Amino acid sequence: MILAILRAQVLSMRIRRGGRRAGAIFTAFTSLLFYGFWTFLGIGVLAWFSSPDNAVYFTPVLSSGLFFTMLYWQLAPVITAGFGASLDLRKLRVYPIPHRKLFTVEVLLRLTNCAEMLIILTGATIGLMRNPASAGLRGLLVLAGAVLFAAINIVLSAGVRHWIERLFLRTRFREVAMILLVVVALLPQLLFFLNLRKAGLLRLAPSQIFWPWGAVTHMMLADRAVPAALLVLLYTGLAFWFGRRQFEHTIREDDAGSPRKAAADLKPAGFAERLYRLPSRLLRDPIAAMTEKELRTLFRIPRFRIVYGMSAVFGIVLYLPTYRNPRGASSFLREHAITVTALYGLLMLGPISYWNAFGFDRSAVQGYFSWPIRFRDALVAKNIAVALLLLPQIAAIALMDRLVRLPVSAGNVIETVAVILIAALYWFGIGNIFSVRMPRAMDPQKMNQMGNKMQALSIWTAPLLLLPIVLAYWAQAVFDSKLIFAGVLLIAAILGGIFYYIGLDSAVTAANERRETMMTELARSEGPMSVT
Amino acid sequence: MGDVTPAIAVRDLRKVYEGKAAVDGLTLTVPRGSFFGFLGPNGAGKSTTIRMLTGLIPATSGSIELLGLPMPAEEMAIKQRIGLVPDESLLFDRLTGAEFLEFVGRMYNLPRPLAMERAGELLEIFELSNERRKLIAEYSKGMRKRVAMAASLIHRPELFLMDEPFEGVDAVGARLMKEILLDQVRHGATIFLTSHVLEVVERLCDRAAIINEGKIVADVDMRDLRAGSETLEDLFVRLVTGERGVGREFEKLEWLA
Repeated sequence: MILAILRAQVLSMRIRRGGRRAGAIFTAFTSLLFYGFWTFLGIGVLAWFSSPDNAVYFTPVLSSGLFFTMLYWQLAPVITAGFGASLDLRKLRVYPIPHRKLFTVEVLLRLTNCAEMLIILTGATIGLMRNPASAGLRGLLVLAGAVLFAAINIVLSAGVRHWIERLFLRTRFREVAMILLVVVALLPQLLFFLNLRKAGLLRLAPSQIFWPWGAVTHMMLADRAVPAALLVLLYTGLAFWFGRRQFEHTIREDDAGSPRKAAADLKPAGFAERLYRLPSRLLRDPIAAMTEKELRTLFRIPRFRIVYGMSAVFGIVLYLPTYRNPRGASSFLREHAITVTALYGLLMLGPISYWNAFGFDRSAVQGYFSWPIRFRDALVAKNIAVALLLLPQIAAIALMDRLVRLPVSAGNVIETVAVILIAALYWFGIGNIFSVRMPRAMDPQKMNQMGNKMQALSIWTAPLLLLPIVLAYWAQAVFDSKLIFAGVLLIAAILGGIFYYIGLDSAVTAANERRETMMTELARSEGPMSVT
Repeated sequence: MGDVTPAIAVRDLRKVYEGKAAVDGLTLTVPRGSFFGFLGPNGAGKSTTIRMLTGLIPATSGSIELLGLPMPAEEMAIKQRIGLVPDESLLFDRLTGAEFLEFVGRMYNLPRPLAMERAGELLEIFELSNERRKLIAEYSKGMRKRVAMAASLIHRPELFLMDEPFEGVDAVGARLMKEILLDQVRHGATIFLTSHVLEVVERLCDRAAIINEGKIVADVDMRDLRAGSETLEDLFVRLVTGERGVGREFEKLEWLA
């Protein structure tokens, strides 16, 4: 039965009429880059843990490493709204398949997201097993600890996924809840930033046996192995219970009917409505109408709102320790905290907006080809909508910076707006081409996009695309002149405008040539799993 | 004197996918002011034809003229004058019914106040005014079809291209939609629709063409058909299945008996 589900999925993903070939090549390329990077890192970890000379550092390094691994494993999908593949229960529930079998497939599918953490864990495990200190029974403990740690994370992430997807359908304060979740998970950074007393911090150190990662560390290093192993088993059981319970909740809610059915009427007026109507005051139709439509659409998609909110909060919290240091290279980060965080926010929005601009339109993309409008206007309107969204995001970041007492001034904010809008020209230019050449249908209710990989690609291409802006800051540092900075930034803006124009032109040409493929890709329905 | 050019004039139209013709030398003329049914079994090439007519996909060869204008040379002018109800959803799920209709009106260059006014009126007529502030994602299949048809009317087109417009619509909704379409024809519009419900085509249309394996196999005047003894369904099955007729191979499956 499990094999039949997997086979149906593989058959559903076959490349049809060459439409997905470019997308498949791109996916393979990004996967190669992404996993290549993590494999390289994994080999480094392996080498480090193999060396007996490093044994003295194993406890703090392994426990901290496992802590960050677990944090990434559970949090990265939430932040990027990319939980990897999952079962489409609505399609499978009509068949008499026992829930435990469905749950087994669901758990196996968790391997499709955060496989990078498995690579790192494998590196650490092999390294420790190769270490002469882990001979015999100790080697078995290393292996058992690693396997149980992976199991805890896999089952827990299955539960988290179902919990969050249900949360998306239900509460009005889900975004706030999600942001709080991230902030809570980033407590270590906050604690570090707040400069608490060392003794207090040590009591909460990752190496403490009561933490899941601490217990696994003690088990793998055969230090208080019996209580550690018992604790690890307890955590495994709890994770399994949580995962299974959340899965059953989802099934029960599916049976009872989607809560979306009970959705209330949207309020006709109010602040949001005035905001949506803003483009019509500034622009002319059809661009105004399409920008307005885009703003309404994006703000009504929970996963967009989550990423949008996260991008304003997460960057600051994540880099707090870096911002705090007033000396050296990090003093630059501290002085330009708003700009750096806003750039990070722009990158985060990419996969759910400008990298795949038509993803949420799905089959309605044909409208842009059947109404009497220019396709170019549709792309421009989508870009304008995201650009407009960046402005309140910068304001939110400035407010957050103020709260954590980072330097904020009017000049700072103006500089950030200029830098972000210029950077956006470069990213939109590339994003428009990607949106047309590699469109992928996105389900607003699901969290299954290739978030991590797209985010990674955004981050890796950043140095190249941001080169003109980096040059502006470099010129400022060398000549110690704001005027020169403004001059170089102006050149960067002009280049960005040219880059954007060329990208837009190329995207429009490609859209006219590939409109059939685009429509096919965006109307594509999935197999028994959601893996778009 | 009104325009005498046909609403649709298609000559030797072909669409080839990987060496296989989905539409194979289709020639068709639809006079203005007619209610034209375009029928065929699944995969016969109906949707592909409509997509080529609207410029959504390019033809491999052949010529298309809509309302006397060549496609794709006059694509924008043609699009401004046609109303489309495609097979795939053309609706933006995260807009309300009222917002979507206003949006589509503005795509056809209607000023915003006029688009809003018409959107409200259309929602009233299509009995969706109670749902006007609900997201389209919350609509049932029939309600979605009604919104799609309302959107195709908002700019008062001269030619409607509709792919299965009644699919999933309840009897009351379908009756309402038929009455609206007949009224449009009375006012001079031309309707070109595909439907699998042959009774509907038989009752509404004044002409119908049957397409099979990408080729037109019949061009039927409904008055002649109604005068004869054969129903449209009989004719359709005869032309599509040939001598084979509707198979009874299922009787050979003992486990199904």
